[in-house]
Amino acid sequence: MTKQILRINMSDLSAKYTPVPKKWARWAGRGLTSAIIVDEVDPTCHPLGPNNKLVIAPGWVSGSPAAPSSGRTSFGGKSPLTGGIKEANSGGLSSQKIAKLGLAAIILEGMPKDGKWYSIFINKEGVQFEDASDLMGKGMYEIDTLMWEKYPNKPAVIGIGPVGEMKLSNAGISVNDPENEPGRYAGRGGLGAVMGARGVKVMVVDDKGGPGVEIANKELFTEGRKKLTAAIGEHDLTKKDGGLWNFGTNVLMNIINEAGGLPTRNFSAGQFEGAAKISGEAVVENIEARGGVGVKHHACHPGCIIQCSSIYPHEDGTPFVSVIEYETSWALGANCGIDDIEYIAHATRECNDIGLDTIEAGNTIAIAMDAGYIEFGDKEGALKTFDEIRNGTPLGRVLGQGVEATAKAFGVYRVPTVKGQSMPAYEPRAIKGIGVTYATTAMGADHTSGYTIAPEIAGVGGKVDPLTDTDKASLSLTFQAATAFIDSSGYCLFIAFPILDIAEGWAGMAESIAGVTGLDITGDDVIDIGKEVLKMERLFNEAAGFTSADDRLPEFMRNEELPPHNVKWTMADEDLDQVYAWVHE
Amino acid sequence: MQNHKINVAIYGKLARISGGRHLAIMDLEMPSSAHLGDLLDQLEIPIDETSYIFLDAVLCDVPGLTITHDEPLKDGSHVGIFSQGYMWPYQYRDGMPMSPALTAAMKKYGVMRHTYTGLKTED
Repeated sequence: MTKQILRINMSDLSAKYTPVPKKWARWAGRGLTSAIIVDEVDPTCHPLGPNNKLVIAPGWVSGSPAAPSSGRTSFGGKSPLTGGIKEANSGGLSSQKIAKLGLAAIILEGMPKDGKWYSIFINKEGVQFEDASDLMGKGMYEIDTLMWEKYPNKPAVIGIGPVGEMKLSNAGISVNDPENEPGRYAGRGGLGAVMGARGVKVMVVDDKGGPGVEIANKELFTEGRKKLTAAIGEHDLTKKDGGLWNFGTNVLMNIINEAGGLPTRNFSAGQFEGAAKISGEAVVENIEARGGVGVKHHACHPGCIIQCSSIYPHEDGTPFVSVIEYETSWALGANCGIDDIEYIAHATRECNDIGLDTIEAGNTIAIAMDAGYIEFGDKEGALKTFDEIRNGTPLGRVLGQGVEATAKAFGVYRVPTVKGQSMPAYEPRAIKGIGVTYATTAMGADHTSGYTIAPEIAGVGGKVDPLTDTDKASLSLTFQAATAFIDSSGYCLFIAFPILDIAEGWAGMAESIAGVTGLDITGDDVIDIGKEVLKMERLFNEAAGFTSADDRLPEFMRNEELPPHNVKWTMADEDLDQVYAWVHE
Repeated sequence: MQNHKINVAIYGKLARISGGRHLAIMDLEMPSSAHLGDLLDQLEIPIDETSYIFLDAVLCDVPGLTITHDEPLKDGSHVGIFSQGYMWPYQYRDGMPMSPALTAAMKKYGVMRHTYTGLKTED
């Protein structure tokens, strides 16, 4: 069966299915969201206006049987936070269910002429629109519960909280997990506001009776997925009892802190004295001690064998929140000078409920602290900011716009952003390589834009010296291209670890994609295909008005030394400009 | 000669050495002539169970490359010792300060690997 594009037009409440056109047939996931945005969205349009679109796409292997850890959904649009193209992806139930309905992508466009809000239900029979008036103002915990009560078959629930309703630039898009909790977010870049601007509060996807995913070459797919599964199970980072298995992504807290690269108190230091208290080790100790519903190894989508998620319980063992990621614990904790994991769990739940990206939210509170509006370390003051945002007070609406807007409102100079998006949990003055990726990716400062893959496979083995500044720039491009490819696959980005170190895993990834799609893709094609995606995104941003001046880290990082290493950002602008020079060659 | 005061944090399974479950932090004294290796010996830490080791925010060891044990300890030094099973993806350590011994070893065995466990290295 030919895959379909489902185009939902909110201007006339219509839904239209069309076969995937030839020009998009190669793409899935991030590659497809970006291809559609480039083709159909005016780069100069207002992100909240009628000419922007929200594109939702599962990856190449999403929904295929037994492809390991393959439940990522890509969301794309023009970002209200950055003003450029954006792809943010999420775990949860949506990717596999959309794919099993035979859909390559859902394009959400237009705006309701009546100004009303709608919920959308999608199943094998088609699309239903319903008045969502009774859902307005509700948080995602209640929305997810209501949708599972209303609809059978445990559907995927894609929704926005009050922040998305207010169309604020730090609005994320929530996807429910197998327990119907809203902790899976396409968080970065404000795409929840783009969904809100379409007048859509929630989309529910039920795949029961759908056509499923056709496998073009079952033998090749099976061979590939087995190799990849074996590599994930073998590698130190992804195997059972490995780093992600034991402590989740928050395994990084103590390591980055020991290294002096943990941004602390709004990027004014590289070590936080309370890091151990908010680390993965502390989270796991509490889960083990509290019992109840606490779970140390949790899959955010069916079929995930890495299981880096967890369920954090209250002291009495009742449900509290899932999941406290490293970047979440850092942003709401270390970067605000707060070492209380119970506060972080509470703040994470607030973000999940009202629909905030936790990284941008924590960084925004840190800006308010740097301005003296709240003291660093004041967790009660920090929690009040979520009430301000939820209630839509004037202050809350400023805070909900993210770091740059808040910094302007409070007159703060130390603003850790690139292209309007604030930096994640890795200090670029100490970890220079990540700084190159922050500076140059089309997405704005993003730690997931440049994952390492094997230098030999990437064609850079022996050609570059990663210990020099100049070659960090050329490596960053390779990393960004590999990431764009994996983001198109539906596989979780964490498969990057085993496919870097285990050649069979790399081959298995490519073979499984080729097996599902019938595309002639091998491991040798990964970087070139990824660069095609990067080029589309770069040219969109250039048409939107971005120049090389936007590929820079903030000025304060060149002026202020970061303890304990007492280093400044010293990367030459000319080196940064080389990362994307090839686009116009 | 006066002893040096050293602060040590042990993460993961090795925390058992100091009575911890996943985390142990302690203060101790070492002779002023002591090196990192001496500290590991005094704590009776099995070297085949360590992964990342930091001395004053400088990366000294990574999983599979346990080689930097001749770095001198200073008064007030902090040492962070991670058990095996920890992760630190290359893209998140690209550019961090490393000890001279580790820098040389990585140039030999490949800078960009996520882990070096199982890698055949020469003594």
